[in-house]
Amino acid sequence: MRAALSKTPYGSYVDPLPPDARAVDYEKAFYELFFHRLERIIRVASDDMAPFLRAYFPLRYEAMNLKRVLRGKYTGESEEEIRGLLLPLPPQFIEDYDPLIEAKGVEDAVMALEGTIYKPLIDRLEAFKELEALWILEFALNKICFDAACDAIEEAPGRVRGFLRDFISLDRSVENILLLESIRMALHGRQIPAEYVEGLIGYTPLCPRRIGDELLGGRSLGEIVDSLKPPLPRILLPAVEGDYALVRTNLRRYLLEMAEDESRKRRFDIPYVLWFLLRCEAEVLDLTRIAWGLDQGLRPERYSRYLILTPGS
Amino acid sequence: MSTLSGVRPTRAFLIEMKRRIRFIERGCEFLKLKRDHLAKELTESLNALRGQRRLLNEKLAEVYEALREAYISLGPLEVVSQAKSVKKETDVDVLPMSVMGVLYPYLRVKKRPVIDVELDASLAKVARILLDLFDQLINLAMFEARTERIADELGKTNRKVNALENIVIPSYKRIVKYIEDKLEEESLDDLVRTKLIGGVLARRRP
Repeated sequence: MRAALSKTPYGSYVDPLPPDARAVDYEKAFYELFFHRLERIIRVASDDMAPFLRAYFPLRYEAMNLKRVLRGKYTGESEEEIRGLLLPLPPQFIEDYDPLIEAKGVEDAVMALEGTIYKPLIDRLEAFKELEALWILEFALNKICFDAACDAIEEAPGRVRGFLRDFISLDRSVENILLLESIRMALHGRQIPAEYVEGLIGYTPLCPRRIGDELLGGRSLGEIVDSLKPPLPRILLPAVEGDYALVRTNLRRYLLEMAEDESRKRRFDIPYVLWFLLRCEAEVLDLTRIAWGLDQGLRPERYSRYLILTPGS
Repeated sequence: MSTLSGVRPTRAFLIEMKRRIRFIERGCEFLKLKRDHLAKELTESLNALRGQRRLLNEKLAEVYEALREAYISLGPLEVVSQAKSVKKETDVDVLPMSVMGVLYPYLRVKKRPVIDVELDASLAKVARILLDLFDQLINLAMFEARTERIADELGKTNRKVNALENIVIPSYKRIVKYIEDKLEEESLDDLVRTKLIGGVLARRRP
């Protein structure tokens, strides 16, 4: 893999890796290039474009890193182990991860977020303490990302707002359904305290509250998928069979198609930049899948159907 | 011949030896009964174990498939992070149980793992299957330990029976034979001696 990538932009990120590098090392190297690209593009993006791009890409990854810190604090992982799982994302809305990583526990780490975009987490601390469940804070982080993206759409030019709303709505709807399905499975028949979930899931016109209530109420996923508006049934169909990985692949492919179709109408506008960044992100996801497949000695046909960028795309 | 060293060829020792052989033979019979019972237990355990293992292997194959999907969907870093976030709260009591005097561990689950973190749907699927398998895994571990201990004890009992049947009892019987031979020889000597003395005395009589 290293030889195949050495003549690509990934070469300079992959070449310094030790010969016995594992899939996680490659994953970090791929993301490093993606984050550098992201930073450069957002830096030169116009004022009406940058907020949305920042809210959709870096904020999502920063929230992912933040979740990893909170999970580490929750189970008492060492600082070294927590740092080892973080993506190499340059500081965005958090200036430095160190105070969070060095905090005594989840509560101290959350309190250290005072004054940042993640402040709403502090309001959820009571519920976290009461239930001793980290998912409360993780859901709150998802909601912060969703709300930030929705707010950023309002700052985007009127000509692309409709497209961006559809884009975010589709992305969030699929993630919501996967999230609700995972709650249902992970809670393993335990009662979900509705008052704690209240306000934590960012419902969309494609996936309204009714769908959430039905899913948590025990209605089968198959019936729910059939009742959804297009293109959700097409994307979510593999979930009915239990293949959630393929749902994500379908979603990323569909979002790429959406951005590509829209960018044909307006060259070098937000959809075009979004399409380019989505492609870069898909490339990183695919390369990570290939690196992991090679690391595990899997035959390519075991993971190739999950690749987002098909040959010729 | 070494087993015969220190043997006193007396009638009292012969009686003692015969008593010991009877005792050992009775013990051997008991050990044979234990061996047969353990063999029966082992056969039953192995059959049950085979069935349980087959079912569990099928389920575990499903788990590995789901885990592969999770790795593909989320990437290794996120899978490791999410998997580590589930608190390791499993707690079991290990109690001793016995079959034919063979102690084996009985596991009683005190605390099961609880998922109170956000898991991706693909990982939640893995977690759900594993939670379903939790009791089966514990049962299998218990059954494996039981089968292993029974097999171990069966081997020991078998060795004991073989040692008694092929070494101890024959050597005791050799001793008995030796003493009996010696005693017979002595009685024959006594008879000859008596006859000789009788003959001498008869010749001396006028």
